[in-house]
Amino acid sequence: MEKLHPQSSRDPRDQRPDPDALLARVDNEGGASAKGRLKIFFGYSAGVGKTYAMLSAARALEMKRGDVLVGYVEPHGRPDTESLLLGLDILPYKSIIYRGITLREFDLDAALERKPKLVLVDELAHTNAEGCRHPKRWQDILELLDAGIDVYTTVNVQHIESLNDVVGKITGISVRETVPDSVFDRATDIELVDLPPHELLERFSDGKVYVPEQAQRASERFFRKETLVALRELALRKTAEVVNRQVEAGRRGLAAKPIWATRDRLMVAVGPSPTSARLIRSTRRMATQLRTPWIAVAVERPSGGAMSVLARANLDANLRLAESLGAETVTVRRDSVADAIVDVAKDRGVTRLVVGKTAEPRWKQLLGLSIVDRVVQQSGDIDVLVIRGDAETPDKSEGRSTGDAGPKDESNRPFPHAWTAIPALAATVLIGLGLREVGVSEPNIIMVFLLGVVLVAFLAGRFAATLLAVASVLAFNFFFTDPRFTFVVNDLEYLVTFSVMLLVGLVVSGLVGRVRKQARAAEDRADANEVLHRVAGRLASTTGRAQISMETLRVLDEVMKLDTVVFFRENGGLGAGMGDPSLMVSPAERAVASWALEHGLEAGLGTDTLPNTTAWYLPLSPREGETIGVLGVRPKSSGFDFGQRRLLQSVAVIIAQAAERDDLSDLARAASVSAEAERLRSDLLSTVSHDLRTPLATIGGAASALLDHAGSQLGDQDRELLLDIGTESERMTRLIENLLQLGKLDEGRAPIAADWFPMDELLDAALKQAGRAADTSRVRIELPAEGVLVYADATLATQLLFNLLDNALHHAPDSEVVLRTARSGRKVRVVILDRGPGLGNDPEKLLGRFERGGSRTSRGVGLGLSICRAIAEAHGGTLDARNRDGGGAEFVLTLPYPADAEPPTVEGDTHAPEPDA
Amino acid sequence: MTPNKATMLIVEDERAIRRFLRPALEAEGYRVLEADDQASGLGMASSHTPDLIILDLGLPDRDGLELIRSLREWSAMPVIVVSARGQEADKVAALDLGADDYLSKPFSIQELLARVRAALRRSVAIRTSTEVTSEFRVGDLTVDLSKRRVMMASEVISLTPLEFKLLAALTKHPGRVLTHKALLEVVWGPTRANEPHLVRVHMANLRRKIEKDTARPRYILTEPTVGYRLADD
Repeated sequence: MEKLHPQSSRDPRDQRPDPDALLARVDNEGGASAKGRLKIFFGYSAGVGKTYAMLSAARALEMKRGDVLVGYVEPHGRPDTESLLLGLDILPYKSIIYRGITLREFDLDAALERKPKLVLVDELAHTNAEGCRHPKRWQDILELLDAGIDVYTTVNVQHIESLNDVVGKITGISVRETVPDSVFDRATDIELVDLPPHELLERFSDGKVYVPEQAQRASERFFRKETLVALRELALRKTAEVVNRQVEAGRRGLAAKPIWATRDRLMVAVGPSPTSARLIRSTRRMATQLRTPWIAVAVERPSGGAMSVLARANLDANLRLAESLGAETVTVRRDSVADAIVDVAKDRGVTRLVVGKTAEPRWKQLLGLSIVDRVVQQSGDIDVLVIRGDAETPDKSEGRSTGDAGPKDESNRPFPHAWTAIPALAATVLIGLGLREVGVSEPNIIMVFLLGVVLVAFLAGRFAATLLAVASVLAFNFFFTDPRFTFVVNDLEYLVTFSVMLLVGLVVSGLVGRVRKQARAAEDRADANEVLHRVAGRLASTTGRAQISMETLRVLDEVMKLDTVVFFRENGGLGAGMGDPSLMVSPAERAVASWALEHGLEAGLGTDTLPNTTAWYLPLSPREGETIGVLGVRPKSSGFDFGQRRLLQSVAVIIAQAAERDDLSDLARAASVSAEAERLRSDLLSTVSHDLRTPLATIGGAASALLDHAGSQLGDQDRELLLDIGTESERMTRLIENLLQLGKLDEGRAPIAADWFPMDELLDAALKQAGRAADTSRVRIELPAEGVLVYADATLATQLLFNLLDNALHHAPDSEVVLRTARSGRKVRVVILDRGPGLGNDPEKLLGRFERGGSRTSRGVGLGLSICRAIAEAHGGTLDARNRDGGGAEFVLTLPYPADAEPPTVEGDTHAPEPDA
Repeated sequence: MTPNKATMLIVEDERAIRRFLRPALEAEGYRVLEADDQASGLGMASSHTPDLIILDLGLPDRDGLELIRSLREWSAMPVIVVSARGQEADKVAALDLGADDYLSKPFSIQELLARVRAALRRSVAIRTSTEVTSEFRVGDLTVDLSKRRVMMASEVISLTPLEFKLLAALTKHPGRVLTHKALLEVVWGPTRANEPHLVRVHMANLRRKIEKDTARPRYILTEPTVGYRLADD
């Protein structure tokens, strides 16, 4: 297939400049510029033409710039849709055999491999077959976007998570396949594909609309005009909401993430019941409309005992739902649900609190003990919205009104321990009978029975104790009251005894059971604190990643008895890891760990990515956007509950920070070593500069003073000697100057204090310096009339020019030396020419370190030339040497202008003053 | 050699340097005083009121800059600063504090003597002249401040306003080094004191109009990385 412009620029879509620029800006915010752009073709029902619209748009784009790949499209056997596919590049399906059926799926890896500019993937809400990388198609699409690939996709309104329940109410069909709103919000473009409901119905009756099998059953209700109108309204509203937010974001130059318009903050109280999910969705809708952040809070009651497995799972699911809808989730453990909710609300500055209307017993309501009433009483200036779990639609057909305000004590002590009541009963009866034989009175025997109840309550819980209390009364009646061995009572006073005994037994069992649960809850909490405390404590003093891994494994093994593995990033990929051997080496597990490392997201068991593994993988991210490793944990049972997940997430943060701190302290150590070295070096340099210069100044000064003072009385030879002392001390000074500069440059961090200098100024200084030892009238300077500016460190550049001039003057003592300067483009070129003996066979070698030119004079110019090149390179320039045609040497120096600075001009100073004549 | 009778104070901690400076200066007919640290230097400056101070910036007790700062509170006596090369920042600071001239180590006696003579001459000229001259001459260059006119030999040279201001600032202190900072303040005002390249760029243009060979200037001399000096002879 022909690609028209495979290399065409990334500039997308069409010619409308404004929205695109705006959206591009939205897209680019938050560092998303390298990520792909998502366009969603959004409709209110099957059959409105989403796929058709998507394919048409893709065709247009293919014509314009090519590189469009059809990843997965369901043509539903419609000829007009199929004809659009002709000529497009279609990715082969991935075939997956599931329970004997061959399923066709989108081949994510092949698409990533191809890396086209744009991929079309139909049906955003699709659930992938088992065996695919992600359970959901929208996860595939996120991965494409992260890989920088643009995606076109389609979705219907009923698949949007936050609208799921409303749609369910409208259509009567509960849709399982949902797409988180965050995915929808990620889209840079939403294209609403709309069709008036009556036209859709016509299409439907003409058989032009494919109805999914699972919807056949309910299609009658679905394809009613009222239903379609309601769905259409929902879709339009949702589109308007997104567009509105994008426009506003563009206007403010902010990202498309929600803008909190007010200081409002919503909070919803959630529990394990399914109605909580509706509360969550309602709150999310309110939060979106109000553009406020929101919190979902769950309260666990320590005295409520352990939740049933089912309740726990439901609560976890609800909290996850809230998280996926963008809420911050908070769990608190406290006996008073109302107090807990109000306190969290006040702490977090919540302005509106959403609670479900509960079906609490009437007596509780009358006594003001209902949770909702107490929340309302204590809420102060927080608005409390008491809504039915299904408050969004007043459809009572479902009749589910058991809303809840918080997690309730779902179950008492579970059954398994109830049998302990039997041996306890037997024991108390035997002891009672024994005591009776030795003449102990009845009240004391009753005490023995009560003791049994207390013990059972403590050991086996409230349920067993309650059973025992009842059984004890019966047993006492049977074994101890006349007539014995019957349940008949002669003395009616015993009825009072029985009643009091039963009541005391029940109260005691309740109280003891409660104390016990509280103790256990405190233990749980202590466990969590203990883990964090131990991990943090051990890792605080640990250095080296191997040590950090070891300590983590040790603590998690000791406290939570988990199979654990810790991987760190090594050479850009997943390292060898340390921990449980089966987790360390299994290719399947390592693949999940690698995915978590690369994407910085959780993966594996209990997550949405590659859940068919035995362990859960948490990225170790010391900072957002950076993942340094992965923590893998395998649960003892089927999975982790919410509390354990929180705890392990905290552990992962601690590990990441410990590793980060360790890296930083390594860096800090290295830095302090190098700072120390740097200090020594600069001390040495300044010592050298002072301690060598001063004696040299004395030597040279003394020689010149002597020459001045007594020169006339000395013979020629003595005068020569004095002159030599003077010139040689000068030379020594130059040598030191060069050494110092070379020392600075060698460190690779020459303190280049560059600025703009007129070339003639630098030459003036260099000539003056050279003039101390040689006759500089032989130097011919050629400068353009308008002058030349160079961007350089004046001291270094002067030294460079001086060294080159000095070299030429010494090596070509009888020739003219020409120094020619010109600017060419953003470079200044300096050429120094002489007609001396030239540079021998290998002129380049001269510019290396410590080379001397020729053997005729043994002046230490080698150092001078090598420092020249070092200075030129430190300025981003070059220095080259070569022999001239016709004899002599040529040095070519270039000094570039910096990319970010323009040479200064004499702006606004062009008028000559009028001379007063 | 005419006896000058002027008094020099050498403030220098290196005895060897004092030892060759003294005979050289005495040979020129100057009286020579010596101090080896900042405190005694300042003390001798106030008790003997020498005609000129030769000051080493690298003194053991306190920075030579301190001496200039204290001295300038009560005296305008010329100060020639001597310091090692590579310590340009110190030189600039010394000049900005009111030093008259500077020399880099190692220097030749001839250089020093020339600077001493020039400094004394300027100091005498300032003390003796009462009239404010509006015309400055050196070599072929004539600057008429009142008429805002610059002549080279008999030819009028056309300068921009900023170039004229720069030249005028230099003519007020012929022979003295004016730092980039000082020139920026006089010509551009205090707000642009951190843009020394402004001075350099305008000065380069000014030079092209006055000098025959800008790399070997006759009138406006460059003191690399420090500033400029207008030749006074």
